[in-house]
Amino acid sequence: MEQMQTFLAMGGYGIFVWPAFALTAVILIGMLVTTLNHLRAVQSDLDRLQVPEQTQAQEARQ
Amino acid sequence: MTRKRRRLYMVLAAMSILAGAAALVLGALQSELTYFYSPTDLAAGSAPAGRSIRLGGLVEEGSVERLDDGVTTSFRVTDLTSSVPVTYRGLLPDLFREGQGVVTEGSLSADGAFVAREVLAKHDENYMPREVTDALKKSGQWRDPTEATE
Amino acid sequence: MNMHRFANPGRFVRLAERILPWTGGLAVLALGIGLYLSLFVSPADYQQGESVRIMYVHVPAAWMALFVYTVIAAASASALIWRHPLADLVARASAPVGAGFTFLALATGSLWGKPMWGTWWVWDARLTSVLVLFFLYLGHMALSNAFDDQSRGNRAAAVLALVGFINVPIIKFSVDWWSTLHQPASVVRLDGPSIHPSMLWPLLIMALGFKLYYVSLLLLRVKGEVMAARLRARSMAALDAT
Repeated sequence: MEQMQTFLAMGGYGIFVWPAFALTAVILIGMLVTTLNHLRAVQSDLDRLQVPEQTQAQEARQ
Repeated sequence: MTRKRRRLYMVLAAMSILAGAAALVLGALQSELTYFYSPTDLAAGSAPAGRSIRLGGLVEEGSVERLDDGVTTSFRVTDLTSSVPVTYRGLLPDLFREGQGVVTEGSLSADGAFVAREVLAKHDENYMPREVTDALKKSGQWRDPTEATE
Repeated sequence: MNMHRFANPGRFVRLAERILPWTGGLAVLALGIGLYLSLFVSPADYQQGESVRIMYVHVPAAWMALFVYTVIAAASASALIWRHPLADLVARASAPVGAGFTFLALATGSLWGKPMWGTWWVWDARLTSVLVLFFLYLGHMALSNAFDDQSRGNRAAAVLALVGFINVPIIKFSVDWWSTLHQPASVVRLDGPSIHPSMLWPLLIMALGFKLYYVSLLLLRVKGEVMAARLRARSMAALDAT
């Protein structure tokens, strides 16, 4: 328990060290989640859209 | 292919002109971009007098003194060529210690002393664990940052 | 014409899907090991104590801020000169990520500067030029979406990216050219790193993790851009058909 407290205190710099790491986690995970959400939204829009047979064939040839 | 080549040359030419312009502008702004003056600059009079300036250098070993009022600290800032006496009222940053870099903002008083309103610590680019510095000191290989700057 | 072999968006997406599990897995691995080393294994600094641990997120973020901008500038040049079909998409997909890394570098630097320097922020050449980089990223994002016709927006953003590239060497060398509060480089320097191996390794592994994270995210985001372009083309076709 005491060890844990020493670790969290970071020699008195805990209030600077932990926010730095937390912010890094929030931004890295946040950018990943936004990207995945966007991908999912575009995919479902693509699926929902009625695709004329002709365009599909054109795309396949590309 | 020739169109592509022409676009390539155009981009290259534009980038070189831009780089030249940037170099000229930055050269002209040299003194504005300098964050602080050294004690030698101050001694040579190349720092603007009368207005608020920043003075940077190392805190001279053995020069730090706490004055009797308890809130004023006096020390000397040196660049190993010349040094300037500084007084400062207020809290000092954690990294402020003798032999370490410091940047102070304030103005020169008539007697040649620098009255600082703000003191910032400047750390150097060396990172190592304490055990390593202890071992280096023991074996006599330790180079004090104060001596290593030149 | 060899380089256009991978320019086909459909082929790119298939390739990306094959690479992604590897880069993603390695990114998680490197970040996990790096985090463990930087928080539990690496020693406190002889001057800065435990606060030096902020370096393990601050420095990789700052390196990525410069690296991503360099990628955008290279992609923009290739879009303007060779009209490479994927280049615009790479630039578009990278800009928000670069802005994220730059923000992270500024914020963690501030959290490090307060206890060590005694201030959250100073207007020295290094900090100011990185703030300019952040605004360049924001400008790029705004410009690339400023026109109804996306290709016009991409063109304008590519010109901005190339003009702004001049800032990258300024950031890198600002600490050598001018007196700054920020210290000079510790790792990338001519006479070798001035950082002890017990702190250099955690830093390098974290930096590798950040880079793999960016590559994985870029693959996902370019795939998203390709799909969005397909969606626009299909909705146009659907409109025409009705």
